[in-house]
Amino acid sequence: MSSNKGLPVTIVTGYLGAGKTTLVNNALRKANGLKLAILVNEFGSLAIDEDLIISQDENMISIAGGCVCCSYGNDLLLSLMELAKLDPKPNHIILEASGVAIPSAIETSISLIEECYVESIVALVDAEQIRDQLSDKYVADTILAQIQSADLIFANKIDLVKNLSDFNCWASNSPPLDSCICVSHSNIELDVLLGVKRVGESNPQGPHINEFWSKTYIPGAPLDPKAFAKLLSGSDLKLVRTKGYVRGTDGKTYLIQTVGHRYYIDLSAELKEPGVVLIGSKSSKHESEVLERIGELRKKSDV
Amino acid sequence: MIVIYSAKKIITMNSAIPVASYVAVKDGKVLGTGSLEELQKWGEFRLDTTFEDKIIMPGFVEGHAHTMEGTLWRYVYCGFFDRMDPDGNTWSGAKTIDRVVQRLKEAESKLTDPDAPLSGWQLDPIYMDNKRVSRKDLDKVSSTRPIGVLHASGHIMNVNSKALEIGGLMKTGINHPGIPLDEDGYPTGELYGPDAMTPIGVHVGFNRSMTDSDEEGLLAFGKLCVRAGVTTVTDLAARLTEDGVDSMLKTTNQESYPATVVPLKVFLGATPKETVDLAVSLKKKTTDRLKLGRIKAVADGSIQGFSARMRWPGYYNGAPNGLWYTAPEQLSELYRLALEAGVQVHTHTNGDEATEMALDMLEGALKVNPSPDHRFTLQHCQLADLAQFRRMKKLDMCVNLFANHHFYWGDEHYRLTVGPDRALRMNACSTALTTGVPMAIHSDAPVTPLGPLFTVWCGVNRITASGRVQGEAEKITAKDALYAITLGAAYTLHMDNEVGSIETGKRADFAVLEDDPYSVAPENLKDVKVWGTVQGGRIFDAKSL
Repeated sequence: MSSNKGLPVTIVTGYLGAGKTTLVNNALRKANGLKLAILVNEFGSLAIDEDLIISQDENMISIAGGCVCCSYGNDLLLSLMELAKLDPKPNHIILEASGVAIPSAIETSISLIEECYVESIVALVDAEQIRDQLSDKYVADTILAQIQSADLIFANKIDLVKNLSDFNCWASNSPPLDSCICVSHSNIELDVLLGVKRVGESNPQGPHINEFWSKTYIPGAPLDPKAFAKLLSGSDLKLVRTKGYVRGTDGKTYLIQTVGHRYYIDLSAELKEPGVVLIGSKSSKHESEVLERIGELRKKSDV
Repeated sequence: MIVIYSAKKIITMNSAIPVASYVAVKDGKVLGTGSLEELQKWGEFRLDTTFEDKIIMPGFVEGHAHTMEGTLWRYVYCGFFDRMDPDGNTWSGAKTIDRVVQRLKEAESKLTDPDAPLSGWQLDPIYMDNKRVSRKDLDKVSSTRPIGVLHASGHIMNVNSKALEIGGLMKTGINHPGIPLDEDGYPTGELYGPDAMTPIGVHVGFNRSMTDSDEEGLLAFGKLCVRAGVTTVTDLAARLTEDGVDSMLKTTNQESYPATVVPLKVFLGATPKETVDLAVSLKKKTTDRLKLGRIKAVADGSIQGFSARMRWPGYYNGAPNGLWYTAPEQLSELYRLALEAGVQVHTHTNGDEATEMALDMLEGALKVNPSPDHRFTLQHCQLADLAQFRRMKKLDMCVNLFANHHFYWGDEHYRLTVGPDRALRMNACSTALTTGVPMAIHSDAPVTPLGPLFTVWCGVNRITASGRVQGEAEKITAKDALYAITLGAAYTLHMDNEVGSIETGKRADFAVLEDDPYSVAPENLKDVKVWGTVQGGRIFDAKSL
């Protein structure tokens, strides 16, 4: 699949109390020049931390650093189209879905408009509550549908879980939570949430991230970009995100991006040095293990 | 000045004087009912014999409608059934797709701006052997002008090729459950659900503010009220923006505005606390003809759209369970805060799981904030069973059942959505009365036409569009049904002290009828003619609106 030309949208899903609003505010604090547009279902004093707000009218909150926040009520697509018309144009849209929305349905809807495309679906679950929630008579099926359609699942508030090994054991036997990444306080770096910076772009904070590791992988010889992207997004490696350039067997340069099991491949206009930044979670697989496994997989499947 | 009206019969809904021949009105209120001799003791009066050969009932209270019906009449009526517009013209039902196309063509030929969209409403192909309407049908109307026709359910829209083109959807390769494709790979022009409808809807005249009644729309809606005998009407899911409220205040304050409008602020896009705070502050703006300060919550979707939340065993055709529109915790918080602030909440529940959820949440909230006489009301509540009605009673809830739905979509429910067993008990009016749950019945206009006497007919006869009686056991008497559209509905709005009966001190709101609904045969209830209304002592003759 190729990424479209429109604005990238990250859908943040999760039931009430999972930490979506905190995640959004964290992202705004870390935006660092990136112009983020936040779309929330509920537009109120609670959506955005007060110290971040510059001004507010009925339709939009202006936020420090050129970011904005709007509510969409029942007109999601219309709101997205309006955001895409903003000048200056936002770099990225974070859509905080309502606690009962099914993100896959939102993604299909967004596919109808050319202004935007869904870059990834990120689900947050409340690690302390999720076991009870998944047996709740009213919302279990809704929450399951949310995490089933996510590319990345974060088990948030992990610091509140009393018996961590018990949780890990339960999660690893409860797909799709077996691939969840444990975090606290919705603390997820922008690189992980919205996509890694490309090779060569400056990264003032350095490559190392709290619960994540990051490493640049240089694929030696030209390869089939699709097969390689599939490999990187396979369940085996448990990579969170990857992004970078590869040389195709046709001699052309391709930009590949993966997030969870989702991948995008785009032909690059410029000739770039091959190199793909990999981000993995320390809680699932360590970098040396991943690099070794990539080598094995490439050999095995002749990529 | 006292005016005494004479009538053939005045049905008061006041058990002390159930029937009278005269009613005295002063300052827009009822002074009393009785004989001329009894009433003239109040002092100097003028005798008005306008209604001498008419039947007077308490003005009807429509407990679940949307004033946007007034706005929709600007568009071309494409419905299957005959329907009267605000000016009193009856539009014959368009029985075939060709007839729909022809009607749109007639309207198209009158448009001067070549780029202006053409919009239609109330299409319902389920009555046309379920034949699908396609963009090619609408292309016969125009290939250069965007055209959109909204279905009766409000959940589906048909558009032409030009509309798809402007909206960027006239292409192959679309993969969306709400956008079926033709054999040629292009969309058929049918759009299912708001997500598919919105991007095209804006190009064919249906936009987000459509549900807000502007002055013209609210005036048109007022005329529909007079023609239906309605003197108090809800606008059950209003956005109530600041401008919207100002506009409604201005319009309803006009001396000739014929109804009291009760808009409920929809719980959407704001937190429970903000919503309750807003309702509290809006309450202060209440006037005689605009009653503010109530909230409407929506728990789930619709049964025919398969988005209602169902308990086991779910949908008859195996469709997956529907969607929550509001999370249980949010509803619980809303209830708790609203009870604390003394703000009433009406909750849309269609599926029986949604009803169960609302009952659970209110039960919990009432333990935190016990509130005698809260009258929280379940709206539609179409699939509730006996056990749920018993719980409603225990929790002091009211219910407003969708009697009209049974006629329009009862056959579909029987055959497809919920199956025979549950279709028979849908909109269980009799169960509501037996269990003692205060009950109203409604039209949900514009989904079905505003007309409480038709709603009464539906509740009494339970006949579906195909002519079958569905659910003999849930039929109610005309007397009970007439109570439901007057005092019953007034009670669900905490307005039974002001309207709903003709008795001393209440607003002089009358439905003026040509026949006596208490003495016509049950099957003829829908044919009782409405002469007009009296609202707050002002006379509105439907013929001279």
